[in-house]
Amino acid sequence: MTSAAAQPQGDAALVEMRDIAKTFDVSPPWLERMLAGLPPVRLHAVDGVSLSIRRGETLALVGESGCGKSTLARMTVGLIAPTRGSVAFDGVTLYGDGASTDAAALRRARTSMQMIFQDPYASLNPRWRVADIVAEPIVAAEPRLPRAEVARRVRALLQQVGLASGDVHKFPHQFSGGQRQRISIARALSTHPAFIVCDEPTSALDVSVQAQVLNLMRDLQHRLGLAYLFISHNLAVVHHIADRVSVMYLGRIVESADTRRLFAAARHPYTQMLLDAVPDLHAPGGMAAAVTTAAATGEVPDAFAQRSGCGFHPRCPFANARCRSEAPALLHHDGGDAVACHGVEEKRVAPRASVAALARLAATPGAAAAGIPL
Amino acid sequence: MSASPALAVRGLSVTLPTRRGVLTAVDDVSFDIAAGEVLGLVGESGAGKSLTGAAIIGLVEPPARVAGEVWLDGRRIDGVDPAAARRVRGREIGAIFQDPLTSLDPLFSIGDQLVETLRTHFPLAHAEARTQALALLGDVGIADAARRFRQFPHQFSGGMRQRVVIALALAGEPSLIIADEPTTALDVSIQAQIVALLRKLARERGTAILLITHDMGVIASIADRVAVMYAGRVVESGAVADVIHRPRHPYTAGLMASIPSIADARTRLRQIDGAMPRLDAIPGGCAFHPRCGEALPRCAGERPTLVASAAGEAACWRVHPG
Repeated sequence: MTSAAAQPQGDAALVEMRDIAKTFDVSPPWLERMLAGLPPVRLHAVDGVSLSIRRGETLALVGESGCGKSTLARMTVGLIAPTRGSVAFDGVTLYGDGASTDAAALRRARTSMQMIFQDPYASLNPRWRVADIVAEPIVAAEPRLPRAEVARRVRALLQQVGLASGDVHKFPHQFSGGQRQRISIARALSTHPAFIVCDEPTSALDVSVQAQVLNLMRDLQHRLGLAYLFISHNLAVVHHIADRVSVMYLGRIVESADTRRLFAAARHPYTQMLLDAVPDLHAPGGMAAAVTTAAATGEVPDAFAQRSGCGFHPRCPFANARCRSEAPALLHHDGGDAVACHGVEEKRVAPRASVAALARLAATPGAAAAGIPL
Repeated sequence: MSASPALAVRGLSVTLPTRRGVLTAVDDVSFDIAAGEVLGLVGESGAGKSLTGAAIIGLVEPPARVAGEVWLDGRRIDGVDPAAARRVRGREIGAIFQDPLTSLDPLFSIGDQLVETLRTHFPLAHAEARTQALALLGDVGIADAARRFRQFPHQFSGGMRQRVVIALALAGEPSLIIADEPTTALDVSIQAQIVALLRKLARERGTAILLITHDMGVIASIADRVAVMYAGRVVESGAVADVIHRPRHPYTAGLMASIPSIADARTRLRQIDGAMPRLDAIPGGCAFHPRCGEALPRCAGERPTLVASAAGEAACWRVHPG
């Protein structure tokens, strides 16, 4: 085990976030504050997160509402400036401490990062035709490109995401939700990015359409070598698409692990609780078993609440005096996994699979022999 | 079916007259729910599942037109005069919607709202109603009910608000609860709590629950039976384990296979190409045939009817060639 500061591990990272934090000032207006003698109120949305994403890899960021995952995603692509820490892309520090001043390098790096948003109804301009929506980033990146060439690239992009090239003259309202998300993906691909931040890209879609979009994203990743930062609250989707998973709670990473390891042997009590709460219809007995055995307790925490110790301790069945007073550091284990939990460090909390995964392993002879801790 | 189901729906249709003709949003839907039973009504956006629920409570407003019969505890409740309908709606059918904030009045404490609801339904003195309201809050798992009683909806978290809405729905001791996407706005850990609560209430109080959702995981964990809707019609229904693990209609099979699961290591999801048809463009014959990988020539011309068998009902020419 090494301390969180003493990284990085693995081969060179494409995207590197170092100790990134965002604090929002949500105080009442100054005059009101002075008259009532109130202190300023600060919301620590993201509180010191370090992540690295390799080329061609999908890192999923999982957490419940208010845990800071969308703020982190927006800081990654520079839509929000971090309060502390830095984001580097391909060796160029883009935002935060020690940001590069090389304009050309910054420009290259920025066009290589794109984002897909959750709501395909809100993220496309309803007054623009598809051709203009997809062409905008191309023209912004290469203003001197001839119009015919731009049009040719737009048609090629639409075909790449499974839309007809004749769709260029249509408006967003003429498409279904799944088709709109394809347009968003075409727009994101238009600058030949190496990295795409996907903020809940399928949460607004029906399941049969979600499957279409997830399959498309996977195909594009294989074909174009894309890296994804995939933000989601849906653990089943994450299990399907991610190579590695980081679990966030109250602005901090509480566990990072290889996807298979995480689902087979979750270390952090919060991860274990999340996994047990997932309704899974392919597990024998559906979620019925999960709900009755492990009923998730407590509520999603208030991000304003004063925190002492580990943020999860009020909901944690394993919490003790140390958990209530001392915040656990993210400790790295072998294989690049990391977990922030006193209980795990003191071996009070054993790794555990989700009920659904257990059911599958029980049905697979030799799983225990393969060394998967249950 | 049983002697007198809590809810019996027969040939329910909802039509919407428009300038370009009459659109059929709910098309000849029939089902029963026994007391204490949870029926899951699933489908994707635009399948007509929410409108089915609204039509049962009588919340469908003109110009939309409702046809068919709705029987609650052996009495017909559709087509009665508005005052009687109002009594049925509040007292005998409880409703839970997706967003608890829209079901609660922000200007009244939740205690006042519960007391008012109880006194509307029963001839109770204020103090009696208060005692019952506190008991209801306890039943739905709200700790420290006496203090929470005086608080306003904005002081509750999303999961706690949904518990209050469930308490309100239970206030009239209804024989049926219609829950329309009750967990969709909640986080997964909170969703599991609400699902467990609904299941417990159905078991302990013998309340019939019509659970409308797009989330098959929720259905799998709480429903006894499930009816799958597509383009306004029920295409398959049966016991929950049968429909999930041995679906017979190609749409249900595709839907189940397209859901990512933790208990399964596939790298590629099965997808159903295309999307649910719009109401003004529902294909003739079987509405699913343009997206169906197993369509027969007759599927485009003849509409399959819902045929019952030992394993449940299915509307598909491949399943029931007769």
